[in-house]
Parts: sequence; C-alpha cells; structure tokens
Amino acid sequence: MKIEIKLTFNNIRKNIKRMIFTIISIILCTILIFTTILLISSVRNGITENIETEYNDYHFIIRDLDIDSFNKIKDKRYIDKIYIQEEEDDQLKKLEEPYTFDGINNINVYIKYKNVREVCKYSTDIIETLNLSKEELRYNQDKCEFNQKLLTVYGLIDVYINIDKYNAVARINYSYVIDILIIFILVAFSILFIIILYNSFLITINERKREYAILNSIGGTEGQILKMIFFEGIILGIIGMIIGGMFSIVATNVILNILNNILSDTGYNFRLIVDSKYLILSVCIILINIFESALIPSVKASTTSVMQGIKNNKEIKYKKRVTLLEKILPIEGKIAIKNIRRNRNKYRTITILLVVCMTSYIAISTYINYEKATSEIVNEYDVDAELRFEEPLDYKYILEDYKAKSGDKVEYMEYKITGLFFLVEPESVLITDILVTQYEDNKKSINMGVIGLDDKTYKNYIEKLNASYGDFIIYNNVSEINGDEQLTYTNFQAFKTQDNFKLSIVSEVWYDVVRYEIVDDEDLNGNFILTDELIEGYREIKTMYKHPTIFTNMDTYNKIEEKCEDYASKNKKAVSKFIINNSLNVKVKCGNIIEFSNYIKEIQDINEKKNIEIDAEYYTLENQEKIIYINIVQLILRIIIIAIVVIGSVSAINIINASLCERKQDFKILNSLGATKENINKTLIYECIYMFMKATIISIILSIPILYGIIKYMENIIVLNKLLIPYGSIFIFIMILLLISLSITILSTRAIEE
Amino acid sequence: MKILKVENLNKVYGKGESEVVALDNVSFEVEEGEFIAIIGPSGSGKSTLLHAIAGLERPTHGKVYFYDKNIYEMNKKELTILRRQKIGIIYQFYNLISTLNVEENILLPIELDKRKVDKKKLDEIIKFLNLENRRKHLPSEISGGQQQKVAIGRALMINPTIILADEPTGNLDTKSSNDIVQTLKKANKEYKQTIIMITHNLEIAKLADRIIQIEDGRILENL
Repeated sequence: MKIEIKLTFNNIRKNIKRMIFTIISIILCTILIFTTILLISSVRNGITENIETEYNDYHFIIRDLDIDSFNKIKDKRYIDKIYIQEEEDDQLKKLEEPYTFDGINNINVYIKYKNVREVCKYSTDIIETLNLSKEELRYNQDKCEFNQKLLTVYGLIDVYINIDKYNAVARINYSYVIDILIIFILVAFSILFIIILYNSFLITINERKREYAILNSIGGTEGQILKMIFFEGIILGIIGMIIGGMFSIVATNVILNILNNILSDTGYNFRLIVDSKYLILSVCIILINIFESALIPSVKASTTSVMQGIKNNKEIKYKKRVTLLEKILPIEGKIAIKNIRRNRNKYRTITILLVVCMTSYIAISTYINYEKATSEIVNEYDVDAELRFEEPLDYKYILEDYKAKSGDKVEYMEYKITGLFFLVEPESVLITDILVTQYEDNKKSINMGVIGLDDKTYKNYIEKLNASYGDFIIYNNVSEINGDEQLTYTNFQAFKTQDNFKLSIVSEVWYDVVRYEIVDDEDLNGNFILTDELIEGYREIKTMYKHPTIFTNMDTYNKIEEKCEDYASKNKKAVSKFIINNSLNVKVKCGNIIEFSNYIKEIQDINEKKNIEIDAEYYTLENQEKIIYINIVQLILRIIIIAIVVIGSVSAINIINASLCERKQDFKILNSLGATKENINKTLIYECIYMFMKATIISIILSIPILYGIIKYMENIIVLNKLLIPYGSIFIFIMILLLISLSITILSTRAIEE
Repeated sequence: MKILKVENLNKVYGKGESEVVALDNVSFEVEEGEFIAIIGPSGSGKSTLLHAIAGLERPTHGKVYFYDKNIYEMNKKELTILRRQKIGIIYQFYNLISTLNVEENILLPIELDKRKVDKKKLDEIIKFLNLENRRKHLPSEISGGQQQKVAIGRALMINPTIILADEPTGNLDTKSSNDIVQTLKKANKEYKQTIIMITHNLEIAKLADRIIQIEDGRILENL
C-alpha cells in the first residue's frame, strides 16, 4: 500500500488547483446535505418541544380508571411515561415507583408511548387489556382521548377509537409520508452531489490517464490504480466533510435565526440540535456519494487501453453534417460549436446544472406567486376577528390594554344583533317570496335581521348614504341558495325601492294556521333607507345571511329589545326570533392577528376561572398562518436555488478550467496560425452562449408541463382569469445566470494568457 | 535457451475499406542473452510487434510464448504481473512518473510488486547508469538522455527476462543516443540481458547481435 499512498499524495500535491476545486465541490455538497439534515432535526425537535410544552407530551388519555385496571396496563413494555391525575382539574403527576393511591378509587391516566407511530396499535392493546365495553366507549366519549395536537406533528391526523371495529385508528397517517419526503429530498441532493463530484473526479482522472497507463504498462494492476483513486477520494472527502460540516452548522444557525424571525409571534423558537443519529446518517450518505462519484471514473481509468492512455489520443468522430449555426457564425463560432459537439459529455454537466437552476426557479417562483394569491383571496369577512362578551365585561379596557402592551394598531366596533319577523304594510311593497310568510288576513311578514351599531359606525353609515340620524338603513337583499354540492347564491331585492311602507315587529303564534301578534309598531317609525351597500366591517352579511337586515343606532335597538322583553313578560312567552344573541359583539381589525389571538386566549383563561365567557373567532388567522407558511417555503426554496447556483458555478469553473488546460496545445496552434487573444476569447464566449441558449430552451420546454401541473393544482383553491407566472423575475434570474456564466468564461480566459 | 517465441502474429486495425494489416503472420524466436534490433520504415509494424510481445496490445491472431507459456492465455491481471516481474519496457518518450524522483522511478515496479528493495542492486544500477548525482532529482530536472537512463534503470531493476525498447533513442540527440545504446549494450554484456530494440537507424541496429527487418507487417530478413 506504501507506493499507492505515495503516488496518491504526489498526485494531490501536483495539481493543487484541481484538488481545491474538488474539495470545494465536496464542501458545498456536504453543506447541502448536512444542513438539510440539521434543519430537519432542529425544526422537528422545535415543533415537538413547542407542542409538548403547550399540550404536554402524552399521547393517550384514559379517564376514570380504577386502580386495579390501572395496574393491568402500567407495566406495558411500550409505555414510556405515565402521568396521573386524581381529579379532573388537577396538575398531572408523573408516575414514579412506588406510587400509592391513598383513598383514591379512580384516576385519569395520561400515557406516553415509546414509539408514537404505533399509537393506534398500542392504544388498541390497552383498550383490549382493560376490556372496555363498546357501550362504555360509545356513551362516554371522554373515556378515551388522544392528544391530537401532538399526534398531528407526527403526521397522525384525527386519531379516534373506532367503536365498531374496537380499535384505534388515525383518519390520515402522514407519519411515513414525512419520512418518505425527507428521503426523497436527500436522494435528490445526493444525485446532485454525485453529478458534481463525478464530474470533478472525471476531470482529475482524465488528466492522469497517461500516468495510470504508464503504471499499468510497468506492472500496476487495475486494483492498485483503483486503490489510489479511492484513497484520494477519501482524503479529499474527509477534508471536505470536516470543513463542510463546520460551515453547515453556521449555515443552519443562520437559517434557524431567519426562521425564528418569521415565526416570532407564533411561540416557536428553533435551536440547533445535532442529533448523533442524524450525524451518522449524513456522514454515511456523504461517504456513499463520494464513493459512487469516484467509482465510474476510476473504473474507466484503470481499464483504459494502455497504449491509448499513453498516446493520450481521443477518438474524434468525423461528422460530415454542418449545422445551420455553423454556416452563419464566424470562424470563432464554428470552432466553438465543433468543440462543444466533440466534448459533449464534458459540457453536459454544465448544461444540466443550468437547466436545473432555470427550471427550478421558474417552477418555484410561479408556485410562490400562486400561494400568495390564495392568501389574498377576498374572504367573507372584512375584519380580522370578532369577540362576544358578557355584558358586565369592560371590553374596551381589554382592547386598549392590548394596544398599549403590543403597540399593535387596533380598531373595533361594537354591535348587537337579533332576528325578528316584520309585518310589512302594504304587502305590495314586498317583491320577493323568500323568507316571507303570508297570514290568514293576507298580510305578509318577512324575516329580517336587526343590527344595533355603535355611534361611530352608525354615523359613518348614514353619512355614506346621505341619510339622517334616526333613519333605518335596510340592506335590501335576499339570497336564494341552490345546489347540493356546489352552492350558488342568487340575490334579489326584498322591497320596492320607491314606495313608502310600515314595519311592525310581530311574534308568530301557531294554532291551526300561523297567526301573528304585534309586538312593536312604534319604534320602527322612521325613514327607511334601502341600500345594497354595506358599511365596512359587515361584509359577511352579503354571503352569510339570506334575509334583509335593518341597521340602526344602539338606542333604537335597545328600545326594540325592551319592547320584546315587555311582550314576553306580559304574555308569558318569548317573542319569535330566528337569531338569538344576547351578547355584546365586537368586530376587531388589528395588525398582528397572531399576537392578538394569543392575548385574547390569555384573557379567556383568566376570565374562565371567574366563569366569564369570552367567545372569539379569528377570521384572518388562517390567512396569517398561510403567509408565514409561504415565507418559510420561499426561504427554503430560495436557499435551494442559491445552493444550486453556487455549486453549479464552482463546477462550471472546474470544467472550463480543465477544458482550457486540455486545449492549451490547440490554442498554441491557433495562435501560431494568427489567431489573437481576442479571437480565442470570442470562441470561448460563443461556447458559453451556445450552451446557455441550449439550456434555456430545454428549461422552457421542461417548465411547461411543470407549470401546467402547478396551475391545475392551484385551480382547486383559486380560479383566476390570468396566469400568475412571474415573467419579469424569471427573465431577471436568467439574465443573472447568463452574467455569471459569461463572467466565469471571461475570468477563465485569463488562464489562456498565461 | 529459447525464452521468447512469436508464432504467426497478426494484428489488423479497422474494418472493411479502412482495414489496416499492421502485422502479417510474424514469427520468430529469441534466445536468452540475445540483443535483437528490429528495423523498418515508419508504419512497418515495429511498435505494434513490440507491444504485442509485451502484452500491451492483444493481436488479432497468433501466440507469444514466454518460456513455453502463451501470454495471451493469461488474464489481464496475470499479464500485468508478468510485465512487472519479467518484462522491462523502455519507451521512446521515457514515460516516467513526473512526481517521483530518479530513485523512486527506478524502484517503482519493485514497490508495485510489494518486493523488498535491494538497496545494493539499486546503488549498483544507479552507478551503472551514471546517475549518482541525480538520485533525488525529478524527471523535469534532468536531461532527456538521463531520463531515458532512468527508464533503463527501471527496466533493469526487476531483473527482467527480456527488455523491450521502443525507439529508445528516437527523442534524443546523437550523443545521448549513442550513450543509451552503449548502456543497453553494456547491460546485455554484463547482465546477460536479453534485449529487443526497435529502431529506424541502421547504424544503431548494427550494434545488435541480430537484426530483424520488417516491412508492411512482414519479416523481410533475419540478419
């Protein structure tokens, strides 16, 4: 082995430049794989930690279990941890031996399994061990429960007990999908790794073909030559891996910091986790990739015919066919195209890398554009959230407190809502039959919502409609909904716009036929302003309610409610209502819906203990999460593009450099025949442009089916009448790539001067 | 004692219209200790014949026997080891390993064979070749003639059955050429080394014990 090692080290020292390029290629590919694995382990760990902190780390809950039954299951080999809860609201206590149950008959048991993927299997086993009856499971839904939030992180969606089949199942099991996705990403990166490194080794070995042939001629066997090449691969690989590993840690930290920035309001905080299992996996993958990259070139080198290697001649296939380009281009272009066609294999790698870069960018940027558009879909609500308070609570204090603490901008408007039946006189004013009841006396009533607006909103509304204070604004719209699967809304007007009419609140009474009783015919004396315009903040009325809606000020609304209460107490029965809402409702617009929702959740927890209920709905929260998701996807995809461009550039420099070294003799001959430095530079620039144009055309062709796939997929979410392909940014990216390619070519031509 | 027998050697390159017969039924024998020169014009098949004898290029037909063993019945590895142990090859363009110095180049086949280095023999060969002052020099630091001597030393070091020299003076000036030929002659006399040398120079060929004239792939004369 001594002579092989000596020759290996000599070879490495002989061409430092080539060695450096090879090591740089290994470093970059190591960074790609290692960083990916570190990110996966850190993010996974971060998400799990976050979820476990918020929702605890148990997987399965069994409530109200007697001690004997508990003893049957507590020693199951697949259980990692058990928490005990003696009373429903007690803190969970981790089970530690010995545990005594003093005077306790039943406990709630929280179980964490060793292998979360088998949660269904283990839980089924526990149910069977406990011999829980189907009736018990059916009628006591709380008996067995799963920690859904935590299991979702592991890819197990909607885990439940199938009572009929008497087993635990997950409605969707993504747990293996996530692993498959990770494997797919690693395989894709490995292929890139092998392509780059294979090319690098090929150049190196080609340069030494003659030497290997000489060795073979004087008695060096194929095996000895292979050993030398693999040994060189190992040395360069170890150096590259160590340096690449260090850079990976730095790169991962940077990316995690950016990620933490994006997710600053969500409570997630990722930190670098170097899991030994993942470390070993990365090293193995990288070593295998280095081995595979070196294998084919080294086999080629060791099996090359001795005389061919010593003479170092290449077979040049004579092609009689002259292409159109060769006919129209000047001599530099002709030489360029002939050279590329002669050395097709060599330049294939550059073309492939260019195609990968461009196609990836076109696909990625289009996908991101569509994702952004989906997050901007006009949704039913034009506010961010809605809160419902019990009357005594000072909601203004809560919202102002949030404003002060967070610095977020907050606007809010309060309203009350009810749904009543209104007698319309004359009935000829009604021009719809939807939600209209005709009575015995041929009078008609219509269902209408009544919304009491706060002063500011009411004034804004009447100002908008040029109405006066005290006017009733009627959103004059009824909706007809058709269809079972795909609902279509058709809108009609309820009232004739020109005629005057009177509205009275009625309560319906059912005898043999429907009759009515007048509840209030005074408070709705006023001017009715019919409109199809809604005030800002109430957009959902358009799609959520089928009936027309009366908007009034809060005083009038309260009077109407009082009349209803008076009727109820006199007649010992409530007024007929189709919307019953006794809360004070507040619509909120804020800058940071995630922060706002977190704040309100804290307030809800505090007030729950005082038995005060606050209901909240966050309309734009999903959208906000979508924006965060898009930002993360954008970050990851941009990193991938940058990595591909950097690796591609290094590889291209290596290839071009090697090619120029090989062609030194050609250039000398050209020079001796009168070709100047400029002629030679032009030849190389033609080569660059030819390869680039070829790669661009291939990329465009490859992108078409990909873009078609993206658009078709996105049509499930958003239907647009235009394509969201970012032509501008794609053009700029291609131009940048062209600039990089030309720069590499021009810088490489400096080598020719020497 | 016969150490080499070439029997009906044929080598054809290409097919059809572009077919070239480089060797056409070449047969001859070599006795131990003989110094043979193969002479012929350019393209006569001299180098092809030498490469076929060395096992570097497989003939289309024919056999090459080393001590009654047909080398073309051996597999690639056996053939390589044969070259390492029994055949010394000297090329026109020296073909030294550029990263190894004079001493290391001479020892290369021994080290490839994992044999123990005979330092005494090494010193003897270096002295024989007048390279004592150039032991640690790289090929790029010595003259063409000296490089060719290193190639001779590499061939002699393994104690080969036969040395095959392919135009060893082809790339050298007259003085160096004479020096090289004298060295080979000396090796033949002092070490009883069997040598087959290709040359196109009749004056150099006359220094050999026997001249084989080859033209158009056929042996014309055995002088």
